[in-house]
Amino acid sequence: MSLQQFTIDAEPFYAPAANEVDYFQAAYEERVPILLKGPTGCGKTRFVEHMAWRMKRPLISVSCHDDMTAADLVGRYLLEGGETVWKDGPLTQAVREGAICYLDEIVEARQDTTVVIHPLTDDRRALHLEKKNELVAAHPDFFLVISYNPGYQSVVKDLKESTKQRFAALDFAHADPELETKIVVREAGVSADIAAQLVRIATASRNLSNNGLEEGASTRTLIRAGKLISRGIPVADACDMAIIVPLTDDAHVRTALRSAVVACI
Amino acid sequence: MFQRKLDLEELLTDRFGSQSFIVKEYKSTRTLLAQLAGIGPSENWERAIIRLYEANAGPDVLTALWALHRTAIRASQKTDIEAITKSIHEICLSVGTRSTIIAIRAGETFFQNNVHRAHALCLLEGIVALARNAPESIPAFVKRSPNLYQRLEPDDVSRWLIDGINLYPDSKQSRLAYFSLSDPKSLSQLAHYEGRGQFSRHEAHLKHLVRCLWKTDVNLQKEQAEITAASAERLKIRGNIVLVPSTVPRRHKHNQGAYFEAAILHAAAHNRFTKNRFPIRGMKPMQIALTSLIEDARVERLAAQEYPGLAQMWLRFHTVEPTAGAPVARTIHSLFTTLALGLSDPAFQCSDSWIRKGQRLFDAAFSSAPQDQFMAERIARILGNDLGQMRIPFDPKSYAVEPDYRDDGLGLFDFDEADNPDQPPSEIFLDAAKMDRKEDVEDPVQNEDDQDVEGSERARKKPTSQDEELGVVLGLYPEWNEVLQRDQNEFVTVREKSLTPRPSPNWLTEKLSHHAGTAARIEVLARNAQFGRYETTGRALEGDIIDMDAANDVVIALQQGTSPDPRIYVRQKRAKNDVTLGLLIDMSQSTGDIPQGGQETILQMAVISTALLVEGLSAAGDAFGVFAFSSNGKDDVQLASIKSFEEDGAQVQGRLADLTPGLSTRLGSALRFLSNALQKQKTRRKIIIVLTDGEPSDIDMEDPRHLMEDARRAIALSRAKGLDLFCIPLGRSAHKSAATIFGKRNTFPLERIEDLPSRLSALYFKVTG
Repeated sequence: MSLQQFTIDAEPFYAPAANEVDYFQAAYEERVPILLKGPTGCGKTRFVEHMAWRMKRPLISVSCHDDMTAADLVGRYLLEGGETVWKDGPLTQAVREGAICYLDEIVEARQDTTVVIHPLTDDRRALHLEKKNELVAAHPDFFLVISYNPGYQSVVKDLKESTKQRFAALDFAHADPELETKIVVREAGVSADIAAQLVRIATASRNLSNNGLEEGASTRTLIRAGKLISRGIPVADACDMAIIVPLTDDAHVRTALRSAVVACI
Repeated sequence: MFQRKLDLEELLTDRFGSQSFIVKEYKSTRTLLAQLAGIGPSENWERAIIRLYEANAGPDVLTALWALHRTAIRASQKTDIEAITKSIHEICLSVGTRSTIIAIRAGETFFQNNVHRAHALCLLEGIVALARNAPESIPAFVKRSPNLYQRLEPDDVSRWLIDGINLYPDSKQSRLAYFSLSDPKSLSQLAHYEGRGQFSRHEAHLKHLVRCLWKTDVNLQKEQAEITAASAERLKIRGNIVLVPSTVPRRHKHNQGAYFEAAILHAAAHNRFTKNRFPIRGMKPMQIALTSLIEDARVERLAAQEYPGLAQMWLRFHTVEPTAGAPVARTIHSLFTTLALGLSDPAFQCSDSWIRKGQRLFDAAFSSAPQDQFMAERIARILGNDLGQMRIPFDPKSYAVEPDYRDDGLGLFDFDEADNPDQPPSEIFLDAAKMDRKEDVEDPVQNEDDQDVEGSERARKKPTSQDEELGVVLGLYPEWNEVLQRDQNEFVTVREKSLTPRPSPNWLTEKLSHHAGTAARIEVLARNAQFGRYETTGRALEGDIIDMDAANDVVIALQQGTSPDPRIYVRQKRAKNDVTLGLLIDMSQSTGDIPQGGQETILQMAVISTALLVEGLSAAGDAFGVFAFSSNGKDDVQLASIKSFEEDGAQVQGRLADLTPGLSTRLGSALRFLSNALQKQKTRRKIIIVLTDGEPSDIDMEDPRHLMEDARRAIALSRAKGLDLFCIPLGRSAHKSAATIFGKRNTFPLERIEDLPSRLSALYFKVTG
């Protein structure tokens, strides 16, 4: 598999909230690995895609899950015919060939899995393939980005202290209402008025995070709702479909959110 | 005597041969039921009719019932027809033909008027209850029933009904007054169920909604109705508490949610935007009313700036017809309601110069400094002067804030600052003072008590500290009514029975010395229990035992050449003492008996066994509580706390020694109390063991089945909450009822009462081991 397929040709839309583009660029020049923190759907992944496009580097994304082993990241021996053949994992491929490797929602992965990235994040810049007994020195262009949602943070799911301190972090939050409105207008193709209503709804729902809801409505859900509205679905129904129903099964919270939608429009 | 197998048609022909229309009606009903609901000739229906016939139901009852069936079947199901027949049968058994026919006709109107079938059945059940307990009230109830089903949910109709029966068990006259809605208590109960039911259904979502919009929590409290004829009250804001009276303005039940939403959001808007309370400084009642009206408009406009949808939501509650050019009546009501609309709806055009002046002043003030809440006071002074010059009288007694979702406005004022205390207080002041006093009553037990049927009366009768006879109220608990198949809420009062610890040595310490052998055995059990509990986790990185599944996977992986998962062990960890025991001892009169051949009374045996178990529990380090109960009617279930879950065990022996037998056994309520207390414990397992010597009974209960079913219900509810309940029946007679109540598998009978000490501890360590 060549890296070609991982390059991003068209510019992914990203509206910077502050200086994050410059800061990311600087970290990249110094090869300081980056940790992106922030709630679901606030634009972390989009930001990485945008930066990869901007710096013209291929981007290998891995969504981490709780059953992921180190082998899923670095690679494993497979049987091919009668022989065992080593197959690089996505991380190894990025290390060898010099791509940006983005490990999404890293806390989801088991802690013993995450330690394989440690040697890549300090001066060694190398990946040790234990099974194959090979030390892969990182390509000069290799860059590691991980993301992590502090909302989920719990005793069981938190980054190891030794992992946390290897990264420079960029804190993401939901964009401020004005910017978020612009994003919704741009991405969903709705009028500024509708977008403003949607943003009001989202802001209201975020007041319920940790208080009935795990997290409030994300920018992503607003864009979805906006797209449905631009297809002619009434605002309240689109919000129900794209925001409220996916967000919660609690009848009281749903009723409250529906009333909030009415109050916002 | 007729044979059951006898054909109904033959029977009818035989009996009513001369009145052939009866047979005809029967046939046509049967045909219709068969057509519409598929009720065949051999089914329950036919048998039920025969039973009714055997209960001496005359031709009039039968034909009326068939008419009811024919009406009902169009709107209901097969099972409904059976339920109807059963209800009518019961009514027929209790009361005469005339009342039965009234009931049947009533049933027919329920179904004719498209009352929801659940409602109709429920009303019929209500009539059954009346037939049993208050047959004289059936016609009155039937007459008022449309009012009831429009206003109450089916469950609440039954509750209201039971309340009436319970309130006046001995007086036909009072019952009649209650069921014909001429008794103020009846009305207030009605309003209570209406308001309470409705509000509690919306409470959760309202709290979320306020939090959602303004990121603050609103402190909502339900305010109990006064026992006076119900009139719609307004919400009250007192400090940061929003009081929701149980007699809020009524809406059709589908709109009640919208009403509460408007009301609570209005209160929340005050919370957010009314930063200060207005100093009262000798303001006249009219000015107070005007100031609060203008402030209402200000906070709503501010709220609507953040959430535009709110303006529209609130506007719907204004009742004034906005007809431009029509003159406004020169009354306070009409002027104030119109002004309220004028300030809320900027598009509202009014010919009245006073209203226009108000709009103009308010708009000007709001556009220059919307955050300045004292504009309300200034504008109110100007507008109030105008009203004074127009000589329009203001009567504070009859004034009610409009639109009705708005709070009563008095919470916006600072009554403490009234600088002229000698001035005779207006009604508004009086009201406010009354409210403030109410707020001081913070005793939750008292408040809970008020919800009870006779609560307000009893609450006054029984200020807990003054009355030595009755113990402190620990809580009010529901009781299951087997006949109505419903919980009667806050029916039973559980009170604390205080114990005086007997100093050691006492009879108990003396007896315990004879049980040294048993004590030693229990200690071994306890030690074993302490070390015997393990938790195992498979697929661990290290451990003593190999997890075969995982090992298998490793071999496969090796064969395939993939890297094997190294987690192939089973890990065993000693479990923590993750159990809490609640022990409940029956100390009713009968436990004072000495069983045949024994030396101690049943209660003494229970006490000795408990003392031994307590030592074992302390050795094992398990958490536990010990309680004893007896009862003297529903208002006095006595509960003695020998060791609460929080206390250490220091007083246990002394208190146990103080238990004396007496009174009756209302098991269900004691179980509810203990189950509630146990649910608050943090351990994973929660166990209740009951020691009782017979079936539940009480002085105010004739039917023993009732309390038995109530206990079963209490157990079922506790089990649903994850509690384990067991019973050791003390004595042969107790065995059967215990097995019925707790279930055979959870009842551990004793061969001899002397076995209790070892048996009790063995049971505990067995079920926790």
